[in-house]
Amino acid sequence: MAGSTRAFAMNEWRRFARHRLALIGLGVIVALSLLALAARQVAPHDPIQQDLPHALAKPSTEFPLGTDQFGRCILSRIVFGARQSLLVGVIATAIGASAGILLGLLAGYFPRLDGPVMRTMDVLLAFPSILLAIAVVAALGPSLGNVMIAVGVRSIPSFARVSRSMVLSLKELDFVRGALALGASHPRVLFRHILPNSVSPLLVFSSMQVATAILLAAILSFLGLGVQPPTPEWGKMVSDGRAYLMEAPHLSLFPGLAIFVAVMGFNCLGDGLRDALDPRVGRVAVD
Amino acid sequence: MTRYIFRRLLQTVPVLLGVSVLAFAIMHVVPGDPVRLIAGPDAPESVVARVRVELGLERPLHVQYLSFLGRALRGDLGRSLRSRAPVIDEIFSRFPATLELTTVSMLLAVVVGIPLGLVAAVRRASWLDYLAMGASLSTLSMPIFWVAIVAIWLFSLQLGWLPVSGRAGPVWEWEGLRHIVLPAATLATTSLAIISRLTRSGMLDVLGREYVTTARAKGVPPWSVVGKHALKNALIPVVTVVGLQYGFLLGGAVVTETIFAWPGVGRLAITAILQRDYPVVQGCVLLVAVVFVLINLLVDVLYGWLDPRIRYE
Repeated sequence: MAGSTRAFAMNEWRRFARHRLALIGLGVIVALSLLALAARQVAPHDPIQQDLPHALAKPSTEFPLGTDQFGRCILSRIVFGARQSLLVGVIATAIGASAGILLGLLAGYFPRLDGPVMRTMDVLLAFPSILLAIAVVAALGPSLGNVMIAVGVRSIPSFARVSRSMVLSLKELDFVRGALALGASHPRVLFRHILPNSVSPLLVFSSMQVATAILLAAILSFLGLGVQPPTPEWGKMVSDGRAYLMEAPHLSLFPGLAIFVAVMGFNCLGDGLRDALDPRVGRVAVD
Repeated sequence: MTRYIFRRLLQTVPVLLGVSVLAFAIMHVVPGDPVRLIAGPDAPESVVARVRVELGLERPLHVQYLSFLGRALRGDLGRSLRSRAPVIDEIFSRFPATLELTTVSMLLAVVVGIPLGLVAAVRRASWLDYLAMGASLSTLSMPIFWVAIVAIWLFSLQLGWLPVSGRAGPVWEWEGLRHIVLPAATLATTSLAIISRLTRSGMLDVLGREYVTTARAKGVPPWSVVGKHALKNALIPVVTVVGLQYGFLLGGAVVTETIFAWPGVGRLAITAILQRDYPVVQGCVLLVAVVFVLINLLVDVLYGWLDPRIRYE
């Protein structure tokens, strides 16, 4: 009997740990958002003002994370950089979600549209996400807005697939048939009955997509295709620090950690939520 | 089965056509005139006009597309605007490096990832399980370029064990091996994390099934239950993911190849995009998409072979 009591306790603890994971993720996201909003008040220094005498300083009390090759405070640049990363992650996901969910709803609901829409999504999926994003930004020119579009476009097919599968499983259920029998219009059934019932899996998926979007945007910046200098951006900071890796590794180390923490926050939230809600959604690798 | 494969092959035709349209469009939607790029910024109008006719760019779009498609089907992807070499040669001269990097890193991911997931599942809720799953969730959250830079800093600059970048011959030679360790390990991190997570969840699913309980009750030794009865079925989703990841990476690991100056297809693609070398971009995009679609098909077929429960009707 002792064994099963222990197993029961373990199980309970695991459940708690999982919710705790989601809570930690949420905490990290809220903290980063506050930091981004209050960057001007929180940051100890100006993130753009150059201070050459203090260039490449090691972490100290004045510069907690050291300075870069122009003597700019790395901590301040990371705090301000949170704005770009969170903004790109959330807006790019919103772009991908709105287009992808709409397409997925239509494809799942109207059999006639299913083939054309999903084959188009297959074409988009056949391109590696990074190459697609790089090509879009290279064509439109490097800027924050174009990074958002490029990263957003990449997630359209995945959102379409997830929402389509939700519609397919929901539309045969009695409450949908009932609504139709009562004379509800197709748009009403789609947006008032099917969509609200798909919210929780889509939320989980979105959370993970934000994580992927932040990673992808950081890659674009790293390659020089993102926000242009001197605006602080984490991926660009890692890239700029490469030249000083030998004498001042903190230039690349700390901004990379910032990306890691932000992405981890959204991944934990997504993982925790998924375990709580358990929709069957997968995840795609970057690179 | 043959009928299924045939039907799946037919289904890939429209997708490949769509891919070719998109690749063709790259040349025509980007701002800037490719003819100007070829002729040079100071070329007189007469030269520009002649180049335009030579390239066939004055013809209607659908005629241009059909001729592009026809040539592509015969393996003619045009010439690079920079090196003037045929695009197909440019790609195939870099493909071995990409093939090598991808194969080594996938092997690494499988050899480490599957046992890790297995142990985590068998010792569920132990510190080992938490450690392995925590590590893989963390890995999935790390930007790959940062992993690469930290690895270079630690193993090349601080410890001096491995070279910073480049490729120095095939993997079976000592120098070649030394050069591939860091890029392959970096590239393997994401796949490794995904594989170990999938193996773990697959094992947990299978270990709870009745046939496993039956095997245990019959007195089959525990290692045999786990290794033979359970693992075989738990690995089916893993096979899918390994196949897809492999197909994906064969198109060139853009970031890893860039950081480690690895002379592969991914680096060729990004250099071409940044230099606006459109024929090379088109060629790379086509190659990547075709490989991806074919591997997808292969995985689907393999899936059915591994799991007889899947019926193809």
